[in-house]
Amino acid sequence: MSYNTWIVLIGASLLGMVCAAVGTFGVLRRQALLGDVMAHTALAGAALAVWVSGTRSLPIMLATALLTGALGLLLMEWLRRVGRLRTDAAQALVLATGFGLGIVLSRVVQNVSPAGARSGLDGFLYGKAASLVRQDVFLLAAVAALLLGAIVLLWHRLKLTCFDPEGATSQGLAASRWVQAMNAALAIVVIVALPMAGIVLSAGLTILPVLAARFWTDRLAKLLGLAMILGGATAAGGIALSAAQPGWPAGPSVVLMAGLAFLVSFLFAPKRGLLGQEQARIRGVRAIQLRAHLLATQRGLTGPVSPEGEREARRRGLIDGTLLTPAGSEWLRSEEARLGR
Amino acid sequence: MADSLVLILALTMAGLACGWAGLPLILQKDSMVGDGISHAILPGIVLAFWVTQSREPLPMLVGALLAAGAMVLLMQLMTRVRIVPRDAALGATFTLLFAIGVIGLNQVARQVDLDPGCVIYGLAEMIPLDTVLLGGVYVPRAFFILCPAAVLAGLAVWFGRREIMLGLLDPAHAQLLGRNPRRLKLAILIGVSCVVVACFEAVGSILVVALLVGPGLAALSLTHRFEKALAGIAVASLLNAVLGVTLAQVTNTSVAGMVAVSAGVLVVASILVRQLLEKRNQALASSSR
Amino acid sequence: MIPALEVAGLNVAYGVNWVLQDVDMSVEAGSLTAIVGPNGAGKSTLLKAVLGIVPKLSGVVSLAGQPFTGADPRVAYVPQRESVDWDFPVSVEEVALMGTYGHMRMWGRPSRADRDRAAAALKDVQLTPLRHRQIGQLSGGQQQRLFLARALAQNASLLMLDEPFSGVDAASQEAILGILEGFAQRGGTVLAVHHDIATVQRAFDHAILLNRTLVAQGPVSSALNRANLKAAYGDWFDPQEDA
Repeated sequence: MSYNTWIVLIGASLLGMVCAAVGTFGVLRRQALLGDVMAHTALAGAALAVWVSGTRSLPIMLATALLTGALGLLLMEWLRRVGRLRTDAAQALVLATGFGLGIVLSRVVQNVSPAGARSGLDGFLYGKAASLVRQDVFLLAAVAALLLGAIVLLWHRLKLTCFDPEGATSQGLAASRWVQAMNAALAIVVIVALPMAGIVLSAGLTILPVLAARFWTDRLAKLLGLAMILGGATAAGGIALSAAQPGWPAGPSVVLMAGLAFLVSFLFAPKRGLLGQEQARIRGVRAIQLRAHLLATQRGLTGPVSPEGEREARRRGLIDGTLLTPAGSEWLRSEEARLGR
Repeated sequence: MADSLVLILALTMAGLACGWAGLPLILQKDSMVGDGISHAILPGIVLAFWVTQSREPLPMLVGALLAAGAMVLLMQLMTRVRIVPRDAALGATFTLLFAIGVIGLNQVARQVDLDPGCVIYGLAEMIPLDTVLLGGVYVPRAFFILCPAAVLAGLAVWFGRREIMLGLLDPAHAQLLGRNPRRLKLAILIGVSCVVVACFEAVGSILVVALLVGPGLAALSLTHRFEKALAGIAVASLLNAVLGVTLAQVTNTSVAGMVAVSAGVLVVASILVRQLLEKRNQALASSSR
Repeated sequence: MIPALEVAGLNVAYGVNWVLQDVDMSVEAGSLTAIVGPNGAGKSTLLKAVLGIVPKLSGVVSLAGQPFTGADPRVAYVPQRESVDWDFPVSVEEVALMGTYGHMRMWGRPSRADRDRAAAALKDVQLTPLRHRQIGQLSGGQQQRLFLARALAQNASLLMLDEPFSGVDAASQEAILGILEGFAQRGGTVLAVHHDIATVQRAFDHAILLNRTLVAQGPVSSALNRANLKAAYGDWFDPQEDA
């Protein structure tokens, strides 16, 4: 592999890890779509930077994008507090208005300098992971280190704020401040990710690895670790995929890999996955239904307490007509003993 | 001048269709679904291009509708597992579908000329230019889809308003009275998908997202009645279109972008007006005491 | 006498969590019956499973001796106040009118008689002067009374309520109890989930004591005796302190 591919690979993995880290708290706080909103508001900031400064310097664009992101957060808070809007409504409105403003401003930029100026902004829409350079990797590594340090330092507060905001407030932790800090972290990471992954896809990177990890653990520390591993691994996998397949853009390939990781976990994770849960449920349900029907039969109840239980009992020869067979009484007795009745 | 009027008319109609369909969407707390659908339709459009190898609008609409339906169903399936919250299910579904769409787009882009920017920004400025001769008059082609969309959305929400209120306010009560609240919610999502698909070609997906929630939220800030909110949405749509088109022409910028900005400004303005009215009422109440 | 509501062999699970086990119960017609039990006992789940909002794994529910299908306007339901979206753009009058939608066809409109019934129901709960208000502008007690008016307009024979006194002041609680007693005196049956044993002992005549499975049921004095309460709440329960 060439030096450039290595840079892109390392950069993308770091990106996947930090996105997953902030996304973990976002998903748990039912703010999964906040990254999407922040990413949409960033176009306005980036265009503003190009318009005002006349250059396409990435650091300046990111700084102004953070500024518009912060304004978006404040507007959302105002809409919820003063406007009494629900979170989803405030998010949708800020997203659409912010992105509309971004389109308007990028047209202004285009009007001012028709040639070429927009190409930098177009990169914000879809992302250009292949254009990652060494400095980006250093930036990402710095963001990752800062973020991890903050998470370790604030671990207990973050945990409490995620699961029980009211409890956190009653303990004098000023939960709203921590909520705002988590929102700000999510905004920073998504906006840093934008030039590489683009708007929708960087939002996806804050959700898909986290949801995938969620199917394998219930503990926050493990969830965070696993989400970061999955985020990094799927990002590397996506870059490899796009390098191997000409015409496969990097950002979408990364999201596709994360999506596959999610779909596999969603369907096949034992215990928590759809199939495992359905299987466990059906097995548990069968036993409950069978027991319910046998109990009803024992008590001489004739109503259809559970048609499924009746079918199962008949199949296993535990009932005969409306009476329990000896095998049926035995099954019921052992089941009741197992339940401690 | 005439072109501006045509543009205002078209955008008002798009506002009516999206705003009316969006009201039940807001009330069932699915405001972000509009954003999700508008991104998730991309693979459907790409599929239509790939199959027909052309830019015919009809296969494109069918493809978009299929993709929207797939997103809604996938989202419903995900929430069957208890650990997936609804917002995360939405985010996971539409980002994945969008990624697939972009990859597909890169595959077909070499065969057909397809600009993803059109899907997002829309071609609102082109509406007055793209006309069809009908009975001696040049009628913009977009009218043939925006008009029916607005009329159908209006009829559905008006005649369905009692069922919508019954099913969304208290699903358990609705079920006791023989209704199926789950089917109602699904019907609302499918109806919104149809409106999104009908409008995005003419006005662009970002404007669709803005118009689904903007007029409805502006109206709900100022009235507590469903019927009045429907009328308020009509007023807000017209104001949005006039304000947006005028601003876009004065500043020589994007119409779709400006109308989206106007939608947000209008909501903020309605909230401020409500604050003002509430303060005045409080002052009146305390002075009469 | 045929019970107003009868449940046999009811089992409910959320995922793999077995919430209600083998619940048999019967609610006497014309009674004021309370469902009592500790937190997490499955009280609300019991109501929801009976109504069919939560799926039953097993069990038969019969309403006045007939199988109950879940869609039956003879049963009215008043949800927990916290679960209602009080910002919903709907007026007091319209909510009361929703009680009459049972016989209205889809896409239909309420008749003159329906409107009269809703107005009478609002008068019964003394909300007529507030009929044009949006529902969020009512106090907690008024909101409960409004949902009671909806149930009255529905002409239901069985009224099921989930924590009707939560977030309600003492005066409103008495007003709501008055309405419920009036409903029972006219032959209706009331089944309410309630956590405060003192109120149940004072105002209800029957009780169902639940802790995942049925602990006791019957007239309040016998169902809520010391031994049963201990069995449901555990040893730390002190009726003196709680009552």
